[in-house]
Amino acid sequence: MSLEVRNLTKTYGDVRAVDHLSFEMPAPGAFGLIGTNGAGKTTTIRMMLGLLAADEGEATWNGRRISRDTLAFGYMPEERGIYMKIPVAEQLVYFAMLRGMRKADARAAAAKWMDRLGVAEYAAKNADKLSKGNQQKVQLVAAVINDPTLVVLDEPFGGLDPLNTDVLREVIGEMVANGKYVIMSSHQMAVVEDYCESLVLLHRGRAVLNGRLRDIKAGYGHTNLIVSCREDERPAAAACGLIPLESRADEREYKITGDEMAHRFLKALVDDGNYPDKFEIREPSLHEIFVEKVGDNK
Amino acid sequence: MKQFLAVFRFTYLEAVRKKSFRVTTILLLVVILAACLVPKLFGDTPSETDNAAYLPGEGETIYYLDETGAIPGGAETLKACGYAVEILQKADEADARARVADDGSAALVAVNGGERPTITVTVKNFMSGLSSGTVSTLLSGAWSAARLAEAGMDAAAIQSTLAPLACETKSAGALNPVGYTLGLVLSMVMFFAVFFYGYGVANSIATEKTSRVMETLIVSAKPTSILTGKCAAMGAVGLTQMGVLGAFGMLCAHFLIPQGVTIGGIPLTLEGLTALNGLYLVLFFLVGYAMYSMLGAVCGASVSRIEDVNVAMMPLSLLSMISFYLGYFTFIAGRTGGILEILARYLPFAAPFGMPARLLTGAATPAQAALSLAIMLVTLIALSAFSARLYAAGVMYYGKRLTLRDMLKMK
Repeated sequence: MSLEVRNLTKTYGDVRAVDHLSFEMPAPGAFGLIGTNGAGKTTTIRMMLGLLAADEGEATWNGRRISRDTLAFGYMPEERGIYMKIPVAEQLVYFAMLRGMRKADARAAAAKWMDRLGVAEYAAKNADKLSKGNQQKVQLVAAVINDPTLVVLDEPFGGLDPLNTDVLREVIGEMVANGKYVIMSSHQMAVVEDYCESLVLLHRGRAVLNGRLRDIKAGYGHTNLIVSCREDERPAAAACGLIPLESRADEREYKITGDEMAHRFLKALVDDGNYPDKFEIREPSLHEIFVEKVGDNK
Repeated sequence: MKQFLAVFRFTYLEAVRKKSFRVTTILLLVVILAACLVPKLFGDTPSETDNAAYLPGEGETIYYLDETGAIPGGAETLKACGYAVEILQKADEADARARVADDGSAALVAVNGGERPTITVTVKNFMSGLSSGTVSTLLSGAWSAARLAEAGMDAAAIQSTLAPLACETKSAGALNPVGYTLGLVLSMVMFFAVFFYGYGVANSIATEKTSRVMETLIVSAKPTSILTGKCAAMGAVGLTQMGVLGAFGMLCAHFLIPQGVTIGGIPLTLEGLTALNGLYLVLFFLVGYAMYSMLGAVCGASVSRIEDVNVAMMPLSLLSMISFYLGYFTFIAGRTGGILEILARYLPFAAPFGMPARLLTGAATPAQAALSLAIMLVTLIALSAFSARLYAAGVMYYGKRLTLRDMLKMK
């Protein structure tokens, strides 16, 4: 089973919201759909799921156009899309029944998911009585209650506190482990980096990065060095050509051109008798790649 | 079908649980109760009209000034008709006028003498209940009787001569007064239902769209299922409310309205409402409401802010009002020919308001009603497909309010 998006295009007047976008998910897992505000993420999602007609291109599942009839999918929109004046459990059962579940099965699934996400105590309450985070969890239940094969999450972590973020991360991890196809649109690069094996970075409707995260990062090489020393290492760093990136309480991060520069710097420190407590060479973070790419394309 | 039923059930329960539904129903029940008390308080029961003579002047006062005696027996004639008569002298006229200025049930009647006397009736204002025409007729009769007596005619001959000729009104057509009244009421009820519940559909859809629930709904169910389920549910809400009101009304009528009571001479019965007519009435309501609710759904789908619903509904409101006026006023005008009459009977948007009344009065035959209903059904099918397309196009668009042209261009 595979998801394939080919040449998706959408134009509003003179504005090309999505410009011949293509990507694929050949196997279950998590896929990141990232980009700046207004990059075309939500438009892409809506075209994929058939909520919006594409001007060109198509999104297929196993070669067939995606629709409610061909694929069980769940969608969690960016903005809350639940009834504020209806009890939580009642509307979850309603959404499930719309997707073909029997009432008894819908009730059981709603109870199970509410329990899993820690909102079972609010089952009989109207949604407007819940905090924003809990509403978001209810929205997630609404998206996955029918055990869909494809799950599309648009900014799932927006407005969540760290505890609820962790809960959501666990659930996403479980879905991935259970063989679901999860497409996640997010600004939270750390989460995308944790879960998404592949991604596409959109900027002004175009894909500026596309592919497996590992390959993308490998293309950048080792560009960052994190150092923590007892003595001030900055003079030695400057002498070796390292560029300071960030200074934290107990460490500093530098930009390097490669492993050779890092090794030369380490030798310099050792020669000076300034032994580092921490010396970490790493690839750029997705956040840094994002900023660099979007900055380049402005 | 499952999706339609799920939407139907959910929308129906959501609507009937709303406070506004319960408050409106209770208020209407109170109105019905009050209306059923009206015949008891103001209606004419057979016992009252059969056994008591009608006195036109009962409860009214006349200050009578006829110093010259130009109308012999004028005051006595007025007293015999139930007026409380106070005979005045000229000096009392100003005082009497002042009293009449404060009393809507009193009049100053001044007879001006001469070969042929004239009568001046002064009342409080033009809305005064006292009829100057009645006073004039009575005094004219008294003067004529006096002149005939002077001419030597005996009392029996005078009475016979002056008595009004018997006059009976008959109908050449088949207009049933009960059906006429019921038809007018049903036309207005139909208009109310179409307006109120059609607006309810628009509001429900606009609320789901603006609250973004639509995004969750549209991925779960086909737009046509959502559209038809909502329209059917709001119609069922309307039928529920009218059913409750109707049942309550019948109970009140049974226990509160005296048997044989009339209002303005029209008996309060459902005589003439046959089973076939009843079936037609229900069908006209259902199909008529369905047409308007489909269009209401499109209006609701065209807005991105709930405040814009009223503006979006204006064209539909205008259509319903024009159609109602066409159906209603051509009916009460009573003419059977002409292009307006034909439009009122067969134009799909006007027929729900015009046909039921014509059915009840016999102005339209069941065959004509069947034809009108068939035209409405065909229109409904076409409208459903058209509305479903516009609904699916507009319901996921957020931004400026969409016009019909915008929605037709959208895929």
